[in-house]
Amino acid sequence: MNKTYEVDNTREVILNVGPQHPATHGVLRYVLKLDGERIVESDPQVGFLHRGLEKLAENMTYQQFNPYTDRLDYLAAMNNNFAYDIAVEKLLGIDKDIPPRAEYIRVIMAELGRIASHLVWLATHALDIGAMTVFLYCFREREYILDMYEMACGNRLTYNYIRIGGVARDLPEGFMDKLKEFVKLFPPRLKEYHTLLSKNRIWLKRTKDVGYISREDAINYGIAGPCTRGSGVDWDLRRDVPYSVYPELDFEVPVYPEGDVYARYLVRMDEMLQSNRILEQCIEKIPDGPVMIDDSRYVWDAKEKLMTENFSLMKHFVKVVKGIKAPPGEVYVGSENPKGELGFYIYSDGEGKPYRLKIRSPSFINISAMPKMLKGGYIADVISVIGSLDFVFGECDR
Amino acid sequence: MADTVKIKINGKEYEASKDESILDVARRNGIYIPAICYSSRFGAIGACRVCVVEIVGMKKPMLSCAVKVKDGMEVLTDSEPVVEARNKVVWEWDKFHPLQCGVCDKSGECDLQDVNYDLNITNNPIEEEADPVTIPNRTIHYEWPIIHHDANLCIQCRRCVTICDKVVNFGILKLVKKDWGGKEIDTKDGSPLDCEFCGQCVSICPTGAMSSRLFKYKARAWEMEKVRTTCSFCSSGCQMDLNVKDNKVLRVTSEDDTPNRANLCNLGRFNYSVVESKNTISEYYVNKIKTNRDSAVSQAAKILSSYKPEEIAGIAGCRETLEEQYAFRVLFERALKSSNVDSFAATHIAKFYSVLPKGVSALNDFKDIEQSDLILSFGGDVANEVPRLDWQFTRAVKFLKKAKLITAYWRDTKVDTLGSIPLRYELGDEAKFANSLAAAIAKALSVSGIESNGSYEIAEDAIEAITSANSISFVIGQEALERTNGEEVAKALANISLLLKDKVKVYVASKYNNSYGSLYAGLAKGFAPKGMHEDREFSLYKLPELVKNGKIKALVLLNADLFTVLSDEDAEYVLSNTDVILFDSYKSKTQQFAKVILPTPTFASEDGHYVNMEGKLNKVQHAIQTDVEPTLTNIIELSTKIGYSLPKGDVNNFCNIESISLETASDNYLSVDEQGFGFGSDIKGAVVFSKFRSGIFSSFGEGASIASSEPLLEMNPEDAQAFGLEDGSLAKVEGEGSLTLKVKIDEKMPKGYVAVPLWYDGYNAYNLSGSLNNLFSAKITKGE
Repeated sequence: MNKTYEVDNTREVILNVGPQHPATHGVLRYVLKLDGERIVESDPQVGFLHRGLEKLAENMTYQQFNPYTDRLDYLAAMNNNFAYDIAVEKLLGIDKDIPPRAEYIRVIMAELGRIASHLVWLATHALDIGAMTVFLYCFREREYILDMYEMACGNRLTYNYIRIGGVARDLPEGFMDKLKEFVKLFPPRLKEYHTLLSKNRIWLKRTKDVGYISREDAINYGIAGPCTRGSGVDWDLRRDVPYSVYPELDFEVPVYPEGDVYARYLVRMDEMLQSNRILEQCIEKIPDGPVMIDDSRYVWDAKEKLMTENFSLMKHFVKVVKGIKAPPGEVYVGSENPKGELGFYIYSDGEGKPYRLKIRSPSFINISAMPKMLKGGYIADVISVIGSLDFVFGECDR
Repeated sequence: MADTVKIKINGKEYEASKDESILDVARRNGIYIPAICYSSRFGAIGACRVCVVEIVGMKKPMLSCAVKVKDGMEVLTDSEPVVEARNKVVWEWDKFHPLQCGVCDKSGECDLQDVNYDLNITNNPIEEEADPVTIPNRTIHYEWPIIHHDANLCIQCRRCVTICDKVVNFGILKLVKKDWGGKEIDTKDGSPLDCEFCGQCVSICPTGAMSSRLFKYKARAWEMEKVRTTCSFCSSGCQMDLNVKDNKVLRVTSEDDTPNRANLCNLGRFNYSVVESKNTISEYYVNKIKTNRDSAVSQAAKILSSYKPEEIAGIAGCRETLEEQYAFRVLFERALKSSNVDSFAATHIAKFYSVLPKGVSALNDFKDIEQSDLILSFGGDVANEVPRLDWQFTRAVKFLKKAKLITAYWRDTKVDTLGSIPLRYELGDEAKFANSLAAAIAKALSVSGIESNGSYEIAEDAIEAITSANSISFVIGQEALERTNGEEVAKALANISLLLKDKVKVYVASKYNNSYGSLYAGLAKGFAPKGMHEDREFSLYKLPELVKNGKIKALVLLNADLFTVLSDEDAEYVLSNTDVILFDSYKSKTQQFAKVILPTPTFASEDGHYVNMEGKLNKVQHAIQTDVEPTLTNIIELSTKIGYSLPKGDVNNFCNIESISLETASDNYLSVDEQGFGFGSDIKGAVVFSKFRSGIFSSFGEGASIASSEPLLEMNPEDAQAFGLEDGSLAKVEGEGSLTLKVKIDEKMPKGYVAVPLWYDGYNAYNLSGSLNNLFSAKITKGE
């Protein structure tokens, strides 16, 4: 990345897009070498939103870093919490002991997060290409989800609800009713979007055979999630490297082999339906019980205990001030986020803070495939490809 | 090696040496065994019982800190009986431990919290069974100064008792039986704590039971940033961490891995408030009127330019960093072209190092004291001069029980309580005594060349000990060198060290934090960095005379308060008859005479290096931000304005070393003039160092001023009775001048002697002894 282009003839033109541009979905700077309308070469330049989260993590206890994961992919903050926490739990060796109710709540939150994230993607993708109506519809449905999130944890954007060892608190009264209402209401709404776009001639013109990437290239670039599934790679971490209670749930992994923007569009549309299916099953299956693991080495004790038992209070101070002592070792856990595989690599030297924390960010990797997708295409394709890759710069630049 | 044995811990084999404990081996190999009373600062106590391990073949779990390893030993650290045994111990501690973590200063760095976490205590059957009504209401010592003790928080590990006894050698703390039936930590006689207030007990306490009153409720442990720097009070160069929050130093701590083993004295640990005292100078003054930096420096340059080079003199106070002292030297050599520089090091260490014989190791690591067979301390109360020497003596003699101790001084001091061979001489007879000692050693070694009248008989056992020892630490006190005949004393001591040069390591105490730096920077007579003039007529001792003769007309003082070395009369005369340019951090009497005052940052805001008495360069780092320009910048600016632009790189290159070396003089035995101080009256007076002061500025801190608020006249009880004086009553002392002081009766004072301390605010001991002297003939009367 960050190449310098030289133009050796009078036909070619260098064009700079971004970093401040409404269609780049964040602070992406995109440099294009054009021959007329055709893209000869292109180069995405990133890093404008770099905050050094990985370095910050080295100076924080495991719990302290949890809210920072909200600031990665802020359109699916719950999923980020989830991904980070299962990584820490695996490091601590408590990943098998999380109470089932907590796991179900996490899956509900994650799938709602997937729908919400995809809704924003669809809204902005369509808006970029010129379909204004879809934008309004999608945000209407997303509002439902944000309301539910607000019920559960009080926040609408950054939640910090899923915690190491479970979730912060049990679901509030009325949440399940609202969720039931949502799963009933959502599939017809999804049909509406299909009617607006899927056979729309303009939409097809702008997306079919645009931004093509082959199955091999998709694998070689390491792009993941809906983007690879749109190139015919049948790969979903929820099914293939299962975590949490996903093995107990029945869902399909939509795969389209065409490898263009339209295929990626269809993958995400189908995924929303599958998420809805998962939610329906969760409503049926969610058990009663605790929502946080009972292991006072790693999670906070109940307030009543802190105020009455001195050993509990003393331990609390150690956990908060020095951090929970993770056993020495390293761990990598990837999870299927709306954008693709969000992975956390944590190296622990036995102290209360991670020695090294690395984030595998799907947005960053997906962007890297853009020049490949755009080569030989038209300048207008840039916008549809950006939309179809669905990246978020909080996560890409970290 | 024959000493290595192999032991198995949790099934894995480890190598160990025979004299190691199981705990040592485990810790070295990163195996966790909890331990509360054990500390690397003094080893095992065996009180807490939490470090138990199972040794295969033994019925009961054993204390891993106490059991030495044996070949083939198999140790289990996590077996069921071990877990049960140590849980029981922790339950007992937790039983009535107050739920006060939220307000306790120790929270966040508390060993009890850590043990509870590490052992994952999840219930407490002992507490469940106990009747809450039986919770004992233990003593909280509100009446102790500086140190706060809350016995409710105490887990009785006896760390404080041990450190007070085995490290500090004070031994005032004890576990005492109380009325409620149990034991508590208290002073031996139950009276309010009156000790050295070094706060070692605070630093070692695993819980919040011992805490600093000065720090109480100021901040939480995790809120402060720790900045490692070097202590600026004496020349031991202890490494310490300034704990800073909101640009304020809130406390001082030190880590176990420092060369000083986390030990700090009262000044180091509690006197940090000097850096924000109201007596700091932060403004520029010209003729006592506040001005800006530019005009003050210009004015200083103008004054200095108006005199001939030989009319300007510079004195360094041994407080500033090596970089600044060197720049000060260059300012004189290159910009002012004058060699009239000297430093306060001239009053003591310079005298010894200017006659340092060849082949004598004279800048040595403090740790070597522990390795020596014999410690020979001469001419000073080292416990007061450099407390770190005191701890090293204690470690060598009392803790490791390796070394013998000989003290040559005119009175018994604290280090003699370690068990010493005391050599006593009459006050003022240092040269005579040292020469006699040298002659006696020479005789025993059959070396010729040292002549003495033999006026002092040296005890046989001392000579025997000196000649039979394989390694000797020869510690020279500052007090003996500060005598008016200090040069002669130094020569005699140089002879002794030359006699023993194959096995002796010399240490020379200094109460100034960077006096060794000023030697290296060439600020004392006889010392010069390469390429600079070594020979010079000027010296601090000649200053009053030279001013009187009109030869010196301008003075540049680098943090040198002349009232700390001269009598009021002399200092006032010198200062009022010269144009004074003063660099200083603290307000002083000298300041009132200064034409130009250039403020310097306090040690907490300074960057650079101090050289300690080991000759090592210790880093000084700024912990708090200040508006005051660094001294180095001002010296360079001044130099530039005078006409020589001093490159900062040169200064840094000069100081880019790890340790200093000093030139040695001769390899001949020097002849010594044994003539001592002629006392005029029956009562002999001495000016001595106080443990709680190092320069007048140390009075401005809380720790030192609470521990010792005023200067006291020490005298023998019989003398006191003869003068009709009691402990605490006022006495008028007359020497050259006179002072009225409170009396402190001290059994250790020999009859016919009195002693007054140095460096208290608003008081000048040199009024009694005269400038640059520390002896006087005293006349004592009842004071009013």
